[in-house]
Amino acid sequence: MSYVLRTLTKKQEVDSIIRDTIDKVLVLRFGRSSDHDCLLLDDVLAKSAREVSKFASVALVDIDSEDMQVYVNYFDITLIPSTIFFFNAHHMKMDSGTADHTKWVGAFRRKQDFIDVVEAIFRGAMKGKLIVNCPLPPERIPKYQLLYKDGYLYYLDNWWMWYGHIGRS
Amino acid sequence: METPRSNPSCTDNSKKEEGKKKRKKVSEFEYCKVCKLNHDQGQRHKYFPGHKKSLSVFFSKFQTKLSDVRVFLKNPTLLRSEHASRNRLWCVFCDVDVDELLSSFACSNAINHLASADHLKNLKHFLWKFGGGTDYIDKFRITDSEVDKWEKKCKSLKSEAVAANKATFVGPPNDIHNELNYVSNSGLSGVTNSSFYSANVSSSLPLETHSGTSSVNLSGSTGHMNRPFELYVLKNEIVNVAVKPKNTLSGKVSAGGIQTFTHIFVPQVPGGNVHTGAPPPWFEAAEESQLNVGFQQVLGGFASSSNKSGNSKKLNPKRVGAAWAERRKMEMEMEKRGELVKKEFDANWLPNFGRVWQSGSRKESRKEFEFEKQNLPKVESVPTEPVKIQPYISKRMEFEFEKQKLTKVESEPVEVIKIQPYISKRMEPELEKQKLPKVESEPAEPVMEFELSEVESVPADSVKIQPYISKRMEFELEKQKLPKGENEPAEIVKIQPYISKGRVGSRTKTCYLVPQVLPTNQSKWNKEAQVNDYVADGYIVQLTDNSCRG
Repeated sequence: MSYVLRTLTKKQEVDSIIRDTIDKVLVLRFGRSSDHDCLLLDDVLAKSAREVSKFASVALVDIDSEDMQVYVNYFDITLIPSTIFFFNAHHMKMDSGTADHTKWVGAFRRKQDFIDVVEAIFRGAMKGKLIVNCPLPPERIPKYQLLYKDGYLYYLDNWWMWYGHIGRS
Repeated sequence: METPRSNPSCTDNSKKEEGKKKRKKVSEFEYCKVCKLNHDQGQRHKYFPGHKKSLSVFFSKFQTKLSDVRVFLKNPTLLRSEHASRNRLWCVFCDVDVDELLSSFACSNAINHLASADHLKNLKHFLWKFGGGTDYIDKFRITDSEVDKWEKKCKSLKSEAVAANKATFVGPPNDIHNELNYVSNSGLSGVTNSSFYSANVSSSLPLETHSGTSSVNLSGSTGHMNRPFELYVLKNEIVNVAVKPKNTLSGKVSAGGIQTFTHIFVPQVPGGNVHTGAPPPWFEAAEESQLNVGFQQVLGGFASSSNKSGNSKKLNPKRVGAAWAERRKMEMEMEKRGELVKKEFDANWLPNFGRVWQSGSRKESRKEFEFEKQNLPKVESVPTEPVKIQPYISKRMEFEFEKQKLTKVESEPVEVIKIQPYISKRMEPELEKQKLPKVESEPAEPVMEFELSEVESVPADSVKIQPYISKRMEFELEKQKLPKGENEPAEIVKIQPYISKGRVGSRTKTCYLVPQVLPTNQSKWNKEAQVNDYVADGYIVQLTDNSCRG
């Protein structure tokens, strides 16, 4: 999807895009283009980037480049793909019922999910909110859990094994 | 090939052609998964002996698999997590892989699947399409009554197991722990397996377009041990989610369907992150990014697109980062014009709440803060001089300091500062007058002495009290002259009653008490005029009334 959406590999590029995207939601996907999960998400992003272009811009960030480790460390990216939202150089958070509000971990199931999330963030930001509630139903939110240890968050991505079946009809 | 024979009465060529067309219409190429070949014979294919042969093989194969399941159906057993990956079933009718990774009993998912209505539907469809017979239906499905029996047995077994040994249930969480530690410590998870990638992409993408009528196979092609995830979908609902076997090294996980993540290994660098509230890195290197001119042009698309929607006045002024947006817009405008070179940001990007409460009302502390904030830039705007830090000097000390300075100055030969008493305006003209005779008097000192002696001698009667000045005293007076000459104004400016000229004239008979300074030598000067001058100037100090003496 890198040919559809711009891929950022330098820190300066990320700096500039965060600082220069004004009055729009900036969606940064942290991941690697060789990863299949990232490709799934990129597909969704690429398809909906044009539809949200009036109030959001989307870019991909390659986490493998040396330059980008600053951001990877800052946002504590241990699961890819992770999607992070900004508005006017402010990091926008979202309460989606998961342990981490700072980013969206995993792919969006469909285009509309992504559009809904971006719209919710945009509306919240225009009202001056730095954190918004996720508009998606919980079954469409990827589940994982965090463990806090030594000042760092460990992602327990298969936490649901503790609880047995999920979504069983 | 039977069609022409079945219509022997059809002799017309046109009819023959029509029949051919019909035959062609029916026979489009399709894949027979039983024979594993493509054919264009249409529905007739299932009656072919070759197909029937392969169908019986197909069924017998699946029958053996089902017999395994039926063993567990009769005697339900607990499934250990390490065996879960091997315990799975490929349903040939639904094209679905049924995994048991989450189930606590062996083949529980498979049993549920085989008893489901969807399986029955798919089975019937299969038998219609590929032949067989309705008697196969009961062979390849599990009836509800069997499932009910099995469930009852499972319940009793579960309660027993819970009572007997809890370890089997605690097992999976422990495994998670071990696995997590392994993943985060080894760093192997950072490597994405390309085989996973290809397999998963091919399998996961159809899920979106899947209508939901039939089940979908996901990623059946990867190896048995490395299978990252498998799931099947029935009626667009996720019936079962199966995850990676625990012995795969990649951090692939699927939860709730297609949401999968890859666990990457991040070497944890000391220093804050977003959770600890560290300063965001995009504000760190503002100047550096400016140096990269080429990139600015690349970014132009983004910047201009956001800039063009410049109806910011309509936007909510309280929106997130409004101040930043306004400022950045201005900056970008200026950068476009090439005016602004430096890019800087200050601490104002953070929300400012105007000081925490200190005392009084909250409003006060905020007002105080704002007042200080207003004053601060003014102070900064003053051209900065190197400010000497000095100790506190009290007024008293300052005075002394001044004094010291003065003495220093006096020691210099250049300037002599006379300490003079205060001289009022009124007295000033008198002083002016005094100065003139003084200058004259210096060469004429002996003359004055003479005159005074004359004055003394002439009105002899009027001079009552005359201090006797002996020769020795005269000599001493002479000696005193020099220092007195300097000090004259100081001495002479005693506060005196004003003596007008007229008054002086009228009092000529009164005696003059001449200060000792005055000389007694003879002079050519006119006596009267001289005396009058002296009197008018107030130069002559004392004056005594004759009458009061007499």
